[in-house]
Amino acid sequence: MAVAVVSIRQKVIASVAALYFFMAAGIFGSYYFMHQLEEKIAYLEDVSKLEESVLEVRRFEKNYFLYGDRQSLTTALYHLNRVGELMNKNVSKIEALSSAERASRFRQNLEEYEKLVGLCAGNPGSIPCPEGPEGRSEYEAATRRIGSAISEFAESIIRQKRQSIKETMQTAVQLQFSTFAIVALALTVTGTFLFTKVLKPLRLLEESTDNIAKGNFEPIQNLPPEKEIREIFNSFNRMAMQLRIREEQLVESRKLASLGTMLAGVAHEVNNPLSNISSSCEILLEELEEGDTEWKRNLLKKVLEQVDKARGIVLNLLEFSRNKEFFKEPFNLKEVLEKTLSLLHGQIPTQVHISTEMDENLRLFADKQRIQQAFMNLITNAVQAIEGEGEVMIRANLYSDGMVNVVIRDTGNGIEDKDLPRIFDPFFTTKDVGHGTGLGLFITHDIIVRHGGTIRIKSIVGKGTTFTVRIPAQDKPNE
Amino acid sequence: MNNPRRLLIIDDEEMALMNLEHILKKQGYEIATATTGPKGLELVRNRPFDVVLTDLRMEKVDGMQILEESRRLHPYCEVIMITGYATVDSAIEAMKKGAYHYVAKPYRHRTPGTGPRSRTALPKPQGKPGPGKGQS
Repeated sequence: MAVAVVSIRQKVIASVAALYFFMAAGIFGSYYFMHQLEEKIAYLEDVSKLEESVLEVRRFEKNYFLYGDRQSLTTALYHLNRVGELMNKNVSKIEALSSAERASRFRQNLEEYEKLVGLCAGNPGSIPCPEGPEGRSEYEAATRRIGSAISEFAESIIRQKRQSIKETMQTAVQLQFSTFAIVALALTVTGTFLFTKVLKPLRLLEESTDNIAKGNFEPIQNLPPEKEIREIFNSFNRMAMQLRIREEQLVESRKLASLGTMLAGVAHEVNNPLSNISSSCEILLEELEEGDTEWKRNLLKKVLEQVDKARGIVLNLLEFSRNKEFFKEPFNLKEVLEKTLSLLHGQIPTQVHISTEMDENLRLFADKQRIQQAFMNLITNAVQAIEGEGEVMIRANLYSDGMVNVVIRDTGNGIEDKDLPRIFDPFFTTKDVGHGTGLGLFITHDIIVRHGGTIRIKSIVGKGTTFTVRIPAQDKPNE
Repeated sequence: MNNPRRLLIIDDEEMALMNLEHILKKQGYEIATATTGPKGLELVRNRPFDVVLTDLRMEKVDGMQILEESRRLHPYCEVIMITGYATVDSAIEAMKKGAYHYVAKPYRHRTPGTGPRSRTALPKPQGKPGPGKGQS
């Protein structure tokens, strides 16, 4: 199935850009509302002044009606003038705040009020200030009515102004909250995205790298659609494949190296039957015509046995050297261990005694060739650990838990405690330069682990070393 | 064959021992055999031989030890080493320790110089005809 490849970089850039956009919008929005607020507050001052002047007018109007002081009306007129000026200055805003109709009625009221106040303020006019209790009362009632309409209007616009400021402030606060919420949401989404799309694959990569260190070269399955992670995983898988090839080459080269040293021993091993065949032939040629036929027949049978022996050695060697894929098959472990010993026979010094104690029917379901290689390495190591006289004991038993236990113990030099933890590391060797590749035990360990087994080592310097290998006898039940 | 030469063959391989014994017996040697190193060493210590033919690689006691012991106890006895594991080093070592000859397997009895029965291999007895002389 084709997966659409998306780039994490693009996604991150897009989300960061969106974040910046929202933050900028929030800042601009706040600035806009603050500016509006500033204007509204400035305007509120004018409206307040208008209201204050209206109140002053009413106060002096009240004084006049209480004390009859005409001077009060003059002062009221002065303040009324201020109201008119402020009204003219802010007419459009006041109209917007209430309505054009109400504003014009307010102006009419102002004019009417001015006329009424002017009557008794001592201004010269056609209509004189009403006299007498009835006229006075009528005049007072009319003045107070229009005056209260004026102050009501002034109060209403200042109320509306305050309400409008309150609304603006609420909107500004809402805007800030929304900006914060959007930024927080965007951050959460980006964080979750980075966690699932970057951190999780990184963790998977870490686990797979650990697996490689343990010798498991499995590639990462399920490549994610993200371009960068996909590329990293692809590179990782290529590396794992290369490492697997390298390791196989390494194992192969180690086998060739051990084959080289073994070959000399094996050639000598073939010399013995060859020599026997050769001397038998010489005897038979010389005595062809002479007497004892039975003896000669017997000798010829022995010659055939010697041929079989030589062929067995060569076959054994060929089988060991053949490069095969990992393949499990049932086989008898005792036979394989004995074949291994016969291959090594030429390399074992006379002073090193090999003793074996193995169950006859010890069957394993495993890769025969690799198991043989593993034990060949262990036995070679045991033999090489002995300087002068010594003994190598090989014991193989089947345990009730279905595990085959193979113990290889030598009476050699032993391994120092400080070297023990590194004994299975690749290229680690305590042998002299040119005498050990440091790969034998590494490969042995790898082979045993691949079979689901374990290998343990116990060593005392000067006393010897014991390797204990445990492998499942069969990996399938009832086989 | 009035005075047969005493010859000891030590080899842990039965067939090699049997064939050598058969061939050399026909030459008139008085032959003793040992199938292990320790047995061979015991014979070397207990009885004098004119010639000892010994395999080099054997368990417990090897040909070199037989050679050393024989040279120490009976300097007149010639020791011939036979081995399927011939190396230049072991040949030099054997010669230094006084081996009379060093024979690498596989060998031919008839080819001069290669087999233990050949003219150059088996030492000639002083004043007596060598047993290897009989062959043509």
